[in-house]
Amino acid sequence: MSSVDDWQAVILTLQLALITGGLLLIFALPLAWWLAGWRSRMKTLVLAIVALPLVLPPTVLGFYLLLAFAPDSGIGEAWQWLTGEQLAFSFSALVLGSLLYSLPFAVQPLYTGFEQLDRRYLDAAATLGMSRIARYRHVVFPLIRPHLLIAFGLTVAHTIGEFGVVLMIGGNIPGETQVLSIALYDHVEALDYPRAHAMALALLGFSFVLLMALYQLSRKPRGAGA
Amino acid sequence: MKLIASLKVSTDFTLDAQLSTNDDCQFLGVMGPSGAGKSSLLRVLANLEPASSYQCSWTSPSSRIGLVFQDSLLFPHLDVAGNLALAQRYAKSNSDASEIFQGCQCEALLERQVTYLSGGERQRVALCRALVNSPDILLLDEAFSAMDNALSQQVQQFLRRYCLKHGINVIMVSHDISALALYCDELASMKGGRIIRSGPVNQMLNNVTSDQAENTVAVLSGPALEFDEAHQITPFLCEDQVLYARHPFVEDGQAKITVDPRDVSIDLAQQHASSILNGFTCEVRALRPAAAGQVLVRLARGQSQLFALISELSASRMKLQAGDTVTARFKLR
Amino acid sequence: MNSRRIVCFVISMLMSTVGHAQTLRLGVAANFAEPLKEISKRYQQQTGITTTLTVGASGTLYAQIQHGAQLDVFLSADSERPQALVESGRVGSDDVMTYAIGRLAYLDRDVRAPGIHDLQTYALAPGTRLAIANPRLAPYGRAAKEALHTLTLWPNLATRLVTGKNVQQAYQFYATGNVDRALVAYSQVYHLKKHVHLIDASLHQPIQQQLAITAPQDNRAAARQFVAFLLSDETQQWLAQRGYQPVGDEYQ
Repeated sequence: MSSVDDWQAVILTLQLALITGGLLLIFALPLAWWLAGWRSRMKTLVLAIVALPLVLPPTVLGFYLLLAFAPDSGIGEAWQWLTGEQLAFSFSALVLGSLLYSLPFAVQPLYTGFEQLDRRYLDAAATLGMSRIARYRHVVFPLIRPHLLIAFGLTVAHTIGEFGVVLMIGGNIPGETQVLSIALYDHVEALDYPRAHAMALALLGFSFVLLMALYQLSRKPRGAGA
Repeated sequence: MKLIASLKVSTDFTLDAQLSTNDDCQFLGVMGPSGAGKSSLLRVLANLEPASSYQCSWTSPSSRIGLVFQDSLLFPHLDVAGNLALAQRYAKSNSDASEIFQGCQCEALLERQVTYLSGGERQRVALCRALVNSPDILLLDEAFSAMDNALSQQVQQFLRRYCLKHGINVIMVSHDISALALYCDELASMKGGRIIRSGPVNQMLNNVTSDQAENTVAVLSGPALEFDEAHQITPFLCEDQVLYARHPFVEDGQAKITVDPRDVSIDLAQQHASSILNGFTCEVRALRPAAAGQVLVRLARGQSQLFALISELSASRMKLQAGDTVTARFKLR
Repeated sequence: MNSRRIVCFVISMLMSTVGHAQTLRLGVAANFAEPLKEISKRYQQQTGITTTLTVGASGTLYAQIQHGAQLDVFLSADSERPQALVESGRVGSDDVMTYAIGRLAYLDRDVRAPGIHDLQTYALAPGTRLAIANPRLAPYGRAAKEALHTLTLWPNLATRLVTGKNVQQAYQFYATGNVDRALVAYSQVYHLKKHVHLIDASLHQPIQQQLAITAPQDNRAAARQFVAFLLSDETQQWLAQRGYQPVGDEYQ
C-alpha cells in the first residue's frame, strides 16, 4: 500500500458520497413528497421501514447485501445479465449499498420539510395561473431548500463515514472499493499508526467542513416558517 | 350568469349551490353564517377541488380565475415585490401595475418582508397580487376583514371601478353586509351548503327575514351634489331630501350610503329639529317584533326603504303605527 | 467524604479480582477461536481451571494490550504482533512462542478434486475473482500472496483479487457465492470432502501463529501451565487433525 492508494481512497470516498447524495435526492424527493401527503394507516409502517437503516447494524445490512449481490441470487444475476459485470466487489455495489444505508438521512429531512409546507401555498400558486412545474419551482423548492441541503449534506457525510456495509461487500480493492474508512482500518490493523492518524484527520476535517458549510447554507430564507 | 356547483366536502357536508343572475350583474355578493359553505363554493369555482363538479356560465375553460384567500397566503420566501412580480409573470395579459399598487395602497409596502406585515397590509397585498395577475374572474373570500373601515371603503371602491373598467366579474364573500350592499349588484344568501335566496341588492335587502333583522342594512342613494369644502361633507339628494355623508360611494354621479337599523331613531318632530344631521321624512310601512324587546320598523318614501330598530317601549309610547309620517334620524358617518 | 467511599469501593473490587486468580483470561484471534474453545474445555476438565475468551482481530487485541488490557495469554493469528510486544518491552522474548502452524487451502467451486494446476489454469482465464485474506494484515493472506508469487501467478492475479479483512471473510465471499475460488486457512475447510486442495507448505513461508504470555506476576505460573498444555503432544496431535501442522517440528 502506498500513499497513491491513500489518495485513491480519498477520491473514491468523495465519488461514492457525492454520487450517493445525488442519486438519493432524486429518489427521496418524490418518496418524501408522497409520504407527507399520504393519509393511511399504512403510513407508520412505511415510515418505519424507511427508518430501518438507522437502527440496523451496518454489518447486518452488509451481510444481506452480500447474499443479495451474489451471482446466483436475483439482484446479482440481473446485474450480470444487464451489464456483463459482477455486482459484488464493484463500485456500483457500494453505491447500491450506500443508497440503502443512507436512505433515512435523505428521506427524513425532506419529509419534515414537506410536512411543514402549507399546501395551500400551492393552491394560491394555482390561482395565479402557474403550471405544476412552475409551482414546484417557485413555491415548493424555495420553501424546502434548507431541508434539501440538509438531506444532501447528511447523506454525503454519512456515506463518507460508512464502514460496516463496505467492509462486508467491498472486497477492499484499491481504486474500486477501498474507501477512506476501510483504508484507515487497514492502517490500524497493520500497526501503521502515522498513516492512520493522517487519514483520520483528513476524514474528520473534511466531514467538519462539510457540515459547517451545510448549516451555513441551510439557514432559512428570510421570513420562511411560522 | 348561471351557476351550478356541487361538491362532497366531508361525510356530513355537501355543497349543492345553484344560482342564476341577471346579465348585467358584474359583482355578486355572497353572505351567510359560518359553515354555510361560502369558502367551499369559492374553492370549487377556482378549480381547487378535484372531486368537485360545477358549471358556471361566467367562466369558460380558458378563464383565468383569481382567488384572494382569507389567509392571504402570500409566499413567505419572497418579499412583497417578489410576490407581485411572480403574479405579473404568470399573468395572461399585461395589467397596469402602478395603477393597481396605488389603488390597493401597496406602494409603501413593496420592500417589506411578508411575515412582518399586519393583517390589513397582508390583505392589500393579496388583493394586489390577484389583480396584477389579470384574472377574468375574481373571487374574494373575506378579503377586507382585517382592514380598518376607511381604508377598506377606499380599496373596495377602487376595486369596483377597476373591475368594471376591465370587465372583471367578481364574486365577493363577506360578513360585512354594508360593503356587500354598496358594492355588489346582486346578493346570494347561503346556508347549509345551499343558496337559499338570491337577487338584486335592493330586493334582497327589502325582503329581509326576521332572523336577519339584526344584520340587515338599508341603502339610500341619489344624485350626488357638490362637495361641501367648508364642512368636509358630501350632500346628496334622496327622494328630494338632502342627506349628508363624509365619504359616500359615488358611481356615475350617484351617491350611495348604507344605514344600519340600530343607528336609526324615529321622532315625530320636524326634519331639522335635532343635532343629528341626517333627518329623513318617511312613512311607517310596518312594525315587526324583533329580539330582546325590540321592534323592527320598516320605513319608506318613494323608491327608498329604511329600517329602524327601536325598543318596544318607545314604539308603544309613541303609538307608532303603519301610515304615520315620521322623521328618521341617523348620525353622519 | 464521597471520595473515601469511592476508594474503598475500588479497593474491594481489586481485591475481588485478586481472589479469582484461578480464572485465566485469554485473548485470541478469530481464526483460532473455535479450536481454543475446545482446548479450554479439556483443560478445565483436567485441571478445574476456567478460562474466559476474548475474541477479536489480532491488531485490535494487540492495541488493547498495549494500552493496558488485562489478558493473561494473547494468541495472535500471526507472529508480528507478539514480536511487536517484545520490541515494545511489554513482554520478554521467552514469553513468546509458536502455538500452531497454519496451512493454506485452495477452494475451487468448479472442480470436484482440484489440484494446483486448476489454480494456474484459472490465472490465465479468470471468471469471478479470487478471494484471499488481506496480505498486509493477515498471515494467511501473506502466505497466499507468497504462494502465488512462487507459482509466478501474482502478476496475472494481483488486479483480480478480492481481499477480505481476514481469512474468515475471504471464506465468506466464497461461501456466499460471490467468488468461485479462494485461498483460505485449511483449518476452516479440512472437513470438506470436495472442492478443496491443501497447498504444499513449500510454496510459502510457514504460517507461524504465535502467542505471548502477558499475565501479571501473580498469574504467570497459571498462564505458563496453560501454554504447556497447549503445546503438549496430545493437544498438538488434536490440532493436526483439524488442519494445523504440529508445532514440534518447527519449534524455535
